[in-house]
Amino acid sequence: MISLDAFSTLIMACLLLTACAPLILVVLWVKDFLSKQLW
Amino acid sequence: MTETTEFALNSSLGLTLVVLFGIAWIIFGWYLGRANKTHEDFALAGRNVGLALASATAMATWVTSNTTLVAPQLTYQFGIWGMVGYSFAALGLILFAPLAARIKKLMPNGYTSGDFIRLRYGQLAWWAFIIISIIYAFGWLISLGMAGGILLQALSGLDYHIGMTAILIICVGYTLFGGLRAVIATDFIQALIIIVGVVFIAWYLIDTVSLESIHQEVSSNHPQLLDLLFPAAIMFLFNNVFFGLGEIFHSNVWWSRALAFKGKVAFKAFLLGGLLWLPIPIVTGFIALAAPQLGIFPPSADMVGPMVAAEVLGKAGAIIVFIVVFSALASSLDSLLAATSDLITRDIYHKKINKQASDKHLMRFNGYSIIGLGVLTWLICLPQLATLGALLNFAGAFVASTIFPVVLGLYQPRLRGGYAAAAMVVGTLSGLAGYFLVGFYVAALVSCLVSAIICAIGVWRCRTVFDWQQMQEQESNA
Repeated sequence: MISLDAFSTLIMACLLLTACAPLILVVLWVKDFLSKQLW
Repeated sequence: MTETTEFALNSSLGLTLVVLFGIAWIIFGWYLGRANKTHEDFALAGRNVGLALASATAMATWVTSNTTLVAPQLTYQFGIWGMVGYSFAALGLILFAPLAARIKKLMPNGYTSGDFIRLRYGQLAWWAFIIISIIYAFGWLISLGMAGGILLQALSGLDYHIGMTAILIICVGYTLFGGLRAVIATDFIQALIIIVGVVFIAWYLIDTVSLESIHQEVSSNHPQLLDLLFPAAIMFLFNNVFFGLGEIFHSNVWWSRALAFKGKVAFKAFLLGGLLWLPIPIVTGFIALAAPQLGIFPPSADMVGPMVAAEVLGKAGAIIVFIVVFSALASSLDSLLAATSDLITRDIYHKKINKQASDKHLMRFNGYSIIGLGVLTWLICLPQLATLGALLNFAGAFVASTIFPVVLGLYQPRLRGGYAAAAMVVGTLSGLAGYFLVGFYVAALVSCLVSAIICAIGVWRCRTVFDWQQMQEQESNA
């Protein structure tokens, strides 16, 4: 059975990684937009 | 503890949200669609999509209703392996990255996955592939249409048929007006909405209920859900990996994107999209583990995610859940409508029925195909036949049989069409036998294994070598 520590680490790590995704996408969008590379 | 029957939103608020979002997406789709002058613009967004939009569309399209509804459902049924197994589907996107670069190199002017199979393997394999593709596309479309109805019903008590109809009309509307350009641009916004919403719900759940109490409750009353040696769940994990690979490797949803992305963007976009997607099913899935503690026993397992979120966050939470799942549904439904209508227009209508069709005529026919697909999906969704998970895994038997024919077709010149066709047909039939005789969690595994054996025999026995140049020459004449 998975321990509380392992369970918490798994969930919190995934939550943190997911939270970073919008920042990455917005930064890329701004970069593409400024260099006129969106389309 | 009783079945949850109260709804977090009232029906009119649910319907109002759908209408407001629907109008916004359709106007946005129409605005973007003004740039579409040729069929290539409509079907492939001018083949010039940059990294930001490309990564977001890869991620958002893979975040479907299945990620937001089925990942909690599978966690509820299989525990920790349910969500971890589901997240392994990210491998599909990650491993498709080199394939996408290869596709761009081999067929810079190609339109669909069907184009590739026809040019690489010939007519017999093309027929097997196109039948599998169409069955899969309808399976997914129906799963998405049903999810729309289930979502609205679970959250607001609105009749299943009204919710399902509304979501189909909206997605058909903006895909019809804007083509792939609208699909990709809306995917970017939908990706942001989905991620922010999912993070907020999970964070609020942890803050309110706490990971400790969820773990304690589950380990006391449902210990098998935290068991790392849950046999059916481990089988599910491997099955899901092959299912995900099959879905992405064969589907025109992903091939059309590979062909639409700028030259070297395809590899990076699929890789990044896969990495961004990887943790999401674990975040959405774990929400279901709080269900027993909250006394939630949903009438249908695929409602568990929305019901837990709505219970913990109340009305505001229900609105967030609603918007997140609606965005997830739309981001996949629009992609599937666009990609399947491309297959019908390009592979069936243009190549089989009307070879002389003009560019304008093809663009118009593509639009009719989108409407036709929407109507057919609506008709099939009317009776609510199966749970989303069961329907999804039934398709696994079909798509997993295409993994080796597609990969070997792209890299190995010693596999001929006859073996590729046999691998897809016999692999699918074996997977279906596994589905009915053993269980849904082995369908994709069996299908992929049988298909791999036939492909291996085909490569071993082959005496001729395929000339890659032949594909480009044929394509330029096509």
